[in-house]
Amino acid sequence: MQRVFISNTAVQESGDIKIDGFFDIANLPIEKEQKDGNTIFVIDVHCTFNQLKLQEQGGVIIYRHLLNQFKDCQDKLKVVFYSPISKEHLAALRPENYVLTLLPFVQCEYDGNFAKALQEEIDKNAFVQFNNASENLLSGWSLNQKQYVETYFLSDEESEKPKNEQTPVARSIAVIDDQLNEWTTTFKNIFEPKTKFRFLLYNNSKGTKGNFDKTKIENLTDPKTAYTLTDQIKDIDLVLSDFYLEEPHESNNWMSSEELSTKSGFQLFETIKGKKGERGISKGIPYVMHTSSNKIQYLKFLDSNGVDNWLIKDTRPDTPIQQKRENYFAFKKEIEKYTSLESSELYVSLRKIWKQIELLESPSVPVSWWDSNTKKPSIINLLKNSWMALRAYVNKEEYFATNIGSNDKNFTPTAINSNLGKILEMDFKFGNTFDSNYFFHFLTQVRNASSHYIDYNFFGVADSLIYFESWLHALGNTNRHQNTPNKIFKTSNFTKEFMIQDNGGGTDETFIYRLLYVYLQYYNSVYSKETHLTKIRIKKRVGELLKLTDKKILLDEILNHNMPTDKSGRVKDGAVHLSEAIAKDLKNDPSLYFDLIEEKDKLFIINE
Amino acid sequence: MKKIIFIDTQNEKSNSFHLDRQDFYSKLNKEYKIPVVENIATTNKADIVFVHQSFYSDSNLMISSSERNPIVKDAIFVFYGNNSQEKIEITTDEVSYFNFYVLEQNFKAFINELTSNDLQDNSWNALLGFDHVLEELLKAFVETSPYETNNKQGKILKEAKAELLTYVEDYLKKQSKP
Repeated sequence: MQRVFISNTAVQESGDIKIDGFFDIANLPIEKEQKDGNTIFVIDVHCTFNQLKLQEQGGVIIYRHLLNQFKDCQDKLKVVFYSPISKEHLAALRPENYVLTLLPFVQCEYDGNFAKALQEEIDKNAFVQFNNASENLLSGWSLNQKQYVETYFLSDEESEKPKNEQTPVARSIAVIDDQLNEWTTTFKNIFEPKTKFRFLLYNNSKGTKGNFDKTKIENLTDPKTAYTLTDQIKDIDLVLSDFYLEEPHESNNWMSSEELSTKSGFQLFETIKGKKGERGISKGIPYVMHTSSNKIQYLKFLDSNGVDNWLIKDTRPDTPIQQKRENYFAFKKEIEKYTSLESSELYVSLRKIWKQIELLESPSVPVSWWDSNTKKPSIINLLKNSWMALRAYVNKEEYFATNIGSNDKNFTPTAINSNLGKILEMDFKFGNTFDSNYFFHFLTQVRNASSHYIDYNFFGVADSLIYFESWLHALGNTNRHQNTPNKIFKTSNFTKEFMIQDNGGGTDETFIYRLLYVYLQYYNSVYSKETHLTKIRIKKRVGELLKLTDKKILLDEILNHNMPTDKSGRVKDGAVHLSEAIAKDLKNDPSLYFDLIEEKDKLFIINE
Repeated sequence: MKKIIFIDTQNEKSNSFHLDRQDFYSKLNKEYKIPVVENIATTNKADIVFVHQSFYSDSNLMISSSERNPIVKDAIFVFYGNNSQEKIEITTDEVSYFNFYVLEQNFKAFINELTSNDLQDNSWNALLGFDHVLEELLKAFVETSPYETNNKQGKILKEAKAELLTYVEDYLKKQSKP
């Protein structure tokens, strides 16, 4: 192994790179034969040039330019740093140089043992690989007080438990890159410990050079097992993929959409997300491109094809500190949308819902109560359209909506529910008992609430998820006998219950807080037991909706509502006054504190 | 000496800076020859740029991305204003580009500290994270070989190293204090 010292003095008799005041950092004198992996660059951390201060750790600046010079052969770059100060203290003095703590390092003792210490470091053969982009990201993380990218989601339900009983959900991330070895160290540092990674190397040295082939993907996390790409991806929560897996990285050429669609990153994207006529592995999976390309047209092209976002690999060797900090922060913020933030639950739901739609669409699913040649395509269309609306809502133009004063966060969810509710308009022949089915009433009344101007401002995306799940629960409950209600829609033998939706049963006297009452009545009914997930969501929503209410109006609606009657003026069978069905000992005093209590799996509004 | 500029928006009608800040700006001009400008494009290369928060209401004048403004490419940015940083961050995520954030009410104390040494390099250096003593201590190791043995030169370096490490430890301890 040849050693080349990079410092302000000539350490060896020959072969060193001696730095002086006029040193041109952009043109490091590296010979071709020094890129064969047999040269070790031994760098003084405190090199100075161009009026650089000693404490600015110029050796690390030189290392970044070496990374740039070795960009096509990072595995051949081997460096060892040295300084009288420990690497931990150096990183504390200059957080942007955290990389020093991960690379081979000798702390000088000036006792004659440097040669031995250097040899020991070389013998460890721990030459960790980076590239400029991965080192910049690591640097940005360190500059941001080492705030990890969080990948565990703590639901509201779990966060209410004592700390030692909380179980956060881990989100798994598949990282696909042709230069994966240059990223794994950075990712293992900047993501929170115990993050569930699946490192998938796109090995472009296999097979035909330049041709995308999904079998070139190797699992570095578990290299001994042979997996198909489907096995690798199907249970993943986020794909973070490079765009140029086969091609040389970003050039100055501008590509057309046609050219872009032939690029390996796009072909991988289509393999995973599917395309027209091809289902793909997982259409619902969030997909983020992580690439050195920053051409906005490319992003627009992929955006319209369903890529969720685009993160830039900053490949510059001289990125200013504040930009490293900012780029890391953008990276963290974007990833956490799919992993640890509330929105990540939405992406998980989108994935689950899509899987269920695909299952319903599949011809292998037994013919169900709603299935017929004419109805099935219409229902699948409604489900797919609603799913797209939900997805579009997730990537909504939030700030623009705020700018123009649009109440989009309520409007889109009501539009989704109202459209899903169109399924009810189809002419099903369920027999006479169907009308008195409570689950049918729930589906009808949520739809009605979303279609009336007086209620719709209370809708949010959580209500769309509740409604979607409820419909999928109903549609997924298969029954071979067409045109007869399946068990979901059978009227049970329980005491007859009647869901109250309008004040007095008349359509002209709609409750302002109808959605709240419908949820509570459904929650408290025997019919909600089968849909556990929906019940958890409803409970949370009931709490949120209650907080939004004007307590005076709420009390008036609950305490003074008129019981629904039939044509002869008799109170309808099974109707229970709202003050008993959804409230307990409600006092007519809006200044009291309003809350919910749960008794025997039922929820009631109380005030005290 | 570092070249400093201040950027603030002017009242369109009176063609002057906000009343509350006029005295302060005039002092900067008179005593320290620090210009206060409205349009960044008219300034020469500056080392340190102070940007008032009101500047941010005009998106045409966005300067946060130094790439877009080669004039201030390597400058240090200090953002100042009378809203808390959290409040500013709600309206713009650009604030994280800045190296420092100073509340307007704390601004005089901040600038007093910086200017206590007549804006000599040292006070600005402190702002930039440069430490004069540390630099001096490191000088002993420039143009020396890491192979230095336990000879006379080695002994000198060992002593210098001990002094350096003690200083670094104290320095880091001071920095970690809230």
